[in-house]
Amino acid sequence: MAEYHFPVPGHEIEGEKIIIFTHKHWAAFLGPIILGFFLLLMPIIALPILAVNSDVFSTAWRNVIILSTSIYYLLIVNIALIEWISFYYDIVIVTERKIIDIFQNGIFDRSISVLPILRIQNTTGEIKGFLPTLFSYGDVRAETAGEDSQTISLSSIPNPVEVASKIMELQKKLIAEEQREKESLEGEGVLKSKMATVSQVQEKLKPPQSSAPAEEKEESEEGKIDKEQLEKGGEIKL
Amino acid sequence: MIFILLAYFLFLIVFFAYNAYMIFRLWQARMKGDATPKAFRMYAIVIGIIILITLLFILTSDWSQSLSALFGGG
Repeated sequence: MAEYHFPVPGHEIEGEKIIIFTHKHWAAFLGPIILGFFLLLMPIIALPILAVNSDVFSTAWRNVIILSTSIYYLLIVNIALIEWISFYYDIVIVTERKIIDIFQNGIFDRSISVLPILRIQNTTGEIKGFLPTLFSYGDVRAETAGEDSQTISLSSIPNPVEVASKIMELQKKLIAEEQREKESLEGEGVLKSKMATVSQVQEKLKPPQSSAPAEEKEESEEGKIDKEQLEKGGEIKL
Repeated sequence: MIFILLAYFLFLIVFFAYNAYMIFRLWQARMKGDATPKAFRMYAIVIGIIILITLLFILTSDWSQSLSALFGGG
């Protein structure tokens, strides 16, 4: 398995240049950071209070408390890493032609959504709340056209308004490119199709040619060559 | 009390196995130039510190008492 599933930003994915490569904004992770901090502090605050108010540390319970605290800290640090992974591995990649949204939920849950930019009808960049306004991060929603309309939602990314407008800019550029290509192909296509029609007619008008013209001449001259032999092809023995 | 100590070491074995698999999986899914190696280094250091402190306490504690001592017995 390749070590790196995606290239370095600034390089290409399947021949397309990466325009935007972003993780979630760090401020979106403030809540788990603060919660983790309090959970780590809890035993440090609770155990001295327990030691002062009771004689539990002079009994056999001391050993149990030590081991339980160790297990508690190991689990908290492990959960903190998993939360960080869930935050950090949420990535948004916008290439010249598509949007790739990678969503990581824990260690064993990862989903990758790919949306072609050409299909996008409109985009919305939203910044809601005190922290998002302060640090300028928010959500981008991109909706596709058609009956089976899809909405891709990129949450907590930096500068969502700029990202939304960049996506629309790429979409317009792609539409203009597609239009130009279509026009040039149509121009070529009209010429090619006319020539094909003429050549087809010419083919039809030509008399059918046998595979062995020399044998045909001989046949006309002598009239002794078998038709089956002519159809088989190859050298005809006279 | 030795049974509690053995249970703790069993937990550590399972914990290390789980962490090894987790780090292996995440290493495969990372990207060039990201902060994952740094995060794993910090994580390993913190886990090491916690286990080291726990081992120090284990070495300075008396594990010869029986489980019944927990509930006021001999």
